[in-house]
Amino acid sequence: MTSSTENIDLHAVKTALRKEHNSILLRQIMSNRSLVIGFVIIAFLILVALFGPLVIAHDPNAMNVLNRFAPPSATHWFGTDNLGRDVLSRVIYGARISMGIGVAVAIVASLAGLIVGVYSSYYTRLDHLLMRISDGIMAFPGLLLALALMAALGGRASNVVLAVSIVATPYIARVVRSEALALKEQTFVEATRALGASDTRIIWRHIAPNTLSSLIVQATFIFAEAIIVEAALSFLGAGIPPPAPSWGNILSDGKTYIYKAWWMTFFPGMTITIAIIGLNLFGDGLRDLLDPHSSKTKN
Amino acid sequence: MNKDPILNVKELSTSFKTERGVVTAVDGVSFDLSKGEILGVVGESGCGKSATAQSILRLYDEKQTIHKGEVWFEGQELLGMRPSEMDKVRGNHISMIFQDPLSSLNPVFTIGNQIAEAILIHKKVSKREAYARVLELLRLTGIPAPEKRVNEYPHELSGGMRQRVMIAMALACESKVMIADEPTTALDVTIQAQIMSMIVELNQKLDMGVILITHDLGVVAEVCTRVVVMYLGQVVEEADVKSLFTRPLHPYTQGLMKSIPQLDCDRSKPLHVIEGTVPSLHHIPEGCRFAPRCPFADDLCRSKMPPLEQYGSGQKARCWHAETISEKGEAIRA
Repeated sequence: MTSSTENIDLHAVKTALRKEHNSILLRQIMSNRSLVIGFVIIAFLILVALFGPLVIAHDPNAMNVLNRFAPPSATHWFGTDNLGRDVLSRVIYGARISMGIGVAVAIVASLAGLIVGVYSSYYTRLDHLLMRISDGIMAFPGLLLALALMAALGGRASNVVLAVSIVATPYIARVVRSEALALKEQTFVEATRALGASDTRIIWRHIAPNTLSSLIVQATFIFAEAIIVEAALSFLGAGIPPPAPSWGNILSDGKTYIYKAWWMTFFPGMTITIAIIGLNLFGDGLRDLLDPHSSKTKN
Repeated sequence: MNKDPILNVKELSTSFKTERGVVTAVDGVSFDLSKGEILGVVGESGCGKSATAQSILRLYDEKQTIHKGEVWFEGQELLGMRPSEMDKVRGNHISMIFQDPLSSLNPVFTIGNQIAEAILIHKKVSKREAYARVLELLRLTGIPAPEKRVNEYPHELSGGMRQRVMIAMALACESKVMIADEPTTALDVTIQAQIMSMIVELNQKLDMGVILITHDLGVVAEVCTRVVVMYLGQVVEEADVKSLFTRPLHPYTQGLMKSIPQLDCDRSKPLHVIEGTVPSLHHIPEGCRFAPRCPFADDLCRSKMPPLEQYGSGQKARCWHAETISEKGEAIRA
């Protein structure tokens, strides 16, 4: 009898503590201004990329030669380009492509980086090999390497993802590796080995999950980086082949007419800038939230 | 008492390759462990107690470690075993619990999940069966409300609870030997007593051999049947508990005992200490390793290492003057 009442009390206390914990977490999130602002920006852009194309009035590829270089107006908020296409529609469609590539690169590079990172932290000889390859990749300016890879692979969206992922993977791998090296020395890893766990089990069940918080933070920065590199590649004509509207392509189209029609470069340029700022704010905020070591005691 | 030895350690040596040369942390250690016995391993920090334990389970990075000697467990020699074979021994036949139970648990999984893992590594059972066993183990280790605790994370438990969880993991596969590496050091005194009495209880109930590594001679006196005293990687004395406490042969053992604060001692006097510190393994003294700190040391001690010799039934000591010193020790106490 007594023990059962105790249990109920214990449970009630526990639930209360959990609620308390959740509200603390929520308060921590809400007081983290860069996280909130970043999240709002990113969420807005993602919503636009997902649902924008369903509500826009103009086909992004529909040309109207009679209405070329129309400045921003009520019908064409961002104006029209050299072929009379609606810039707003193209920027919204471009969000799909550019953000999509950003997400794809973040995922591919995270997976590859996680694999490279945890294995190189665990096996010394493999570590030397993989880290020298990473160093090799990191020695090139990212854009230049991506450009070379695109030249070799050919201009397709999937190739852009591949090329940018190759460039980004070492950055993820480095972060995961350093985290995993510290984890490897933790007693719980030794305790797991003392239980008879194999290397593979230790790596994937005990080391990898503990690196995720750093990985996620790094992945948001890679997301931002991927958008920039894709835009730069497309701007240089080595990215998404036209007429598909990626943000880089729109910029590239606009650069010839920058004095005649500023809106062709201004709006896509601004969009890229806002997206990158949003992602970086979000990443910074996330780092403060997930990594107790870097969080400053702000009020 | 059951006298079948299940674990024989013969002339075990463990050396590490470091940047400053090879360092031998365990040097020719031998002992037996019988079924249902609790063997205490005592000594100061850095005397090779933990290194011995970890060498038995081969937990060190084998590329940087040299093992010599033999470790026999149920007719199998562990040091020469293939790594994959060794995985089947760890946790299954010989399990280990560590000093700090918080850092010994993975923070991102529930305790139920982690105990179940200990079972699933070795046993081909369904997850449902494993969970049933987890609850059984939690009950066995005296964790209240196991149905609720099972879904909690390590940080939600107290230190004592966490150590109980670690013990539950060690018991998961009904291993025959449990190595407890200072299991109560990180816990407060009342919890220490609980955990120790639980270890004794489980040892009797499950007829499991326990190697208890500790620097607490009080604990040794209470729970152990036999004791191995280590100094600088060597066994300096081995005896059953009674003999060790009534007639310590090695001056180091005597020193350790004199260092235990007594309730009826003169409080104005400072506590007894063994002069000096454990020398670095890089500079092992010549002759008897304890000689530089030993009040009885003479030229023989400083030039020649004494062997581990038998004195009476089952008591061994590594000292040239064991017999005379033990008498003197008694004289001092009397």
